[in-house]
Amino acid sequence: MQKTSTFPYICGMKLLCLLFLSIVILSCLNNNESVHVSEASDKYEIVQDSIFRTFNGNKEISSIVFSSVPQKVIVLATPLYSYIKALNVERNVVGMLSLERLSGIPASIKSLGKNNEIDLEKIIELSPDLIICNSFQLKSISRLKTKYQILVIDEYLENNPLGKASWISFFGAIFHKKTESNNIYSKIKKNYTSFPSEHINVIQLNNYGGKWYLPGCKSYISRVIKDAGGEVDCDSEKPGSDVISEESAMVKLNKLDYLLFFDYAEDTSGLKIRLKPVLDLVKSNKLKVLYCNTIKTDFFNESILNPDVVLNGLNSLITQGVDGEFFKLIILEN
Amino acid sequence: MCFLLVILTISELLFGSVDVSILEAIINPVSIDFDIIVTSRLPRTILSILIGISCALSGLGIQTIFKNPLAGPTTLGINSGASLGMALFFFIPNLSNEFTVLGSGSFAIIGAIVFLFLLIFTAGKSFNLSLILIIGLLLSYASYAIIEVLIQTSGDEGIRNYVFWGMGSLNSGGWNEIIFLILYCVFGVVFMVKKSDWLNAYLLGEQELKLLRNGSIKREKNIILIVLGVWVGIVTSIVGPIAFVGVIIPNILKLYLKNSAMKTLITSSSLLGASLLLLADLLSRGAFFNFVLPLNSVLSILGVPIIIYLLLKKMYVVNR
Repeated sequence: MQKTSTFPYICGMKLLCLLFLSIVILSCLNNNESVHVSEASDKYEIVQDSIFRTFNGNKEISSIVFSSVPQKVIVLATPLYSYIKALNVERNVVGMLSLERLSGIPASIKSLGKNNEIDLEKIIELSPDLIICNSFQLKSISRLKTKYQILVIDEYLENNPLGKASWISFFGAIFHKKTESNNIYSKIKKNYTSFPSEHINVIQLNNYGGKWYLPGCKSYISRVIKDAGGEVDCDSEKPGSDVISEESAMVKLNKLDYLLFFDYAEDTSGLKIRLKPVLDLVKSNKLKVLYCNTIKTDFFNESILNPDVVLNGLNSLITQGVDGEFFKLIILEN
Repeated sequence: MCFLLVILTISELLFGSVDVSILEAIINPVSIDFDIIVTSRLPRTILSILIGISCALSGLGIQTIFKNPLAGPTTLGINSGASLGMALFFFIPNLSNEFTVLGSGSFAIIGAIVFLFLLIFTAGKSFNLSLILIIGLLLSYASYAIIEVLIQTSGDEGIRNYVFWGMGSLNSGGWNEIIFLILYCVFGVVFMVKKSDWLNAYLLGEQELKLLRNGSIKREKNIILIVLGVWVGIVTSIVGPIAFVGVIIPNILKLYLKNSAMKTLITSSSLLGASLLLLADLLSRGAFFNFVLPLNSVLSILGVPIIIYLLLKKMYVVNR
């Protein structure tokens, strides 16, 4: 009797352990992250100025045919609005998702919801010529696939600052603004010149929910720091972030020259509280912070087409202590 | 209940974030009004009804098999199993390319069934009410832990795909998915009706069931659980995890109908489940107020007080 009642339990535990082990092994195999090239031209293809194809790796993710300039554009991937704005064709945009994330948006652009709550009714009401989105949003608009031209762009996977900026050429071709887009990109490319290493250790280390997140060596911010003449103390070649232990965080924080901090608050009041996890681990009585207020500077949208401004500002700050458009130096007493 | 369902179905078609004239839509099939109804509201209405029926009936079936009023796809961790399946699909490199034909749905279905059977194996034969809930909870925690590990080792693309899917939305799902779900719903409802006599006898006790029916009880239970697990997996893969419907609907009906006959419960659960989803969708997509809310938040706000009430009522009965 005893044997019969415990058998399913043992069997279940074995199955559970087997499932857990196989998942851990599978997740450990996940190291072959794709490495992005310096510019985005391999992410898209333009045929005869009218067929626009976009790719994710070797996989084609969208293909649209457009010979005239789209007059009614819907932007669901909010950061892509920066390219349209830079080409002065924002009047062609009729609707956007997560409108509240951007400032200075024309009143004619309608809000289409937030996150994955995309208002399909409003999109249909606007009857767009073109919908621009990221691939992860496609499932939410799958019912519109047969009715509208949908352009899928996964620009967020591009971690090279110049690669990100080079998408302007693609938008230039769509909106028949090739000369303007080429001029913009040439200017960015000319101004974005890597500085030699100054042997200054700059770290962006965040504590969310008790975990320490360190950007990988191939992340956008690590590349910018390196190009600005800083030295990056990163742990892996990942384009994303690594979770590191508190001990590692302590070692890294006590070696740094500057802490790069992206603040989501309105101003610097309460900064010490927001940086308390960092200050608790730093032995020195002063912490030099390269401070960026993401709300005031609109960093995540503005930096896309201004990587040269970000780079030069960061370089001036770490080498000469001169505040720039995006960053300023704050010294916190510990 | 039929009347409520009809009213809510008409409301779902009539109200939305854009003012639409049904008359114009009928007269002019090339109008914007027609497009809004056919492309957005109609599929959403059908999907709400199907998801409501699916969640309510799978919840009823699972509660009956486990003889536990708090059992359901969410509380027993079956939804978590489906979520884990989806996470594996999104996070393991190149897996989504290799299994394009099978799609993410197959991973959700396998995840749901694996978790369902893990629950049965680990709970053993006793089917103890508290033990099953605790194991369900532990399986959910295990699933979240594994997903967390996968998130830590994954790239941006997988994370964004998973997070967007996990938010749950009735926008997801084109006509292909809807037709597939209609077919499975028809099969599921017919299956449940066919098994209703067996389930009625099962509720009397296994000894009584042996006297009344031939065949292996274990085999029957497993077949029913597989059908329900596949159902939960399909729903989860299309619209993301849907909270509470499976738990609250059968309980409300048992409380107010004071009737545990399976055929009555199957019919009424289908009607009330579909009505609840339609109501939640109307509230979540800003048909009455000018803001949109996540569907699961609305369902949780409606569902949590009912679960607490059921727990307190059960405690009161036990203490008395």
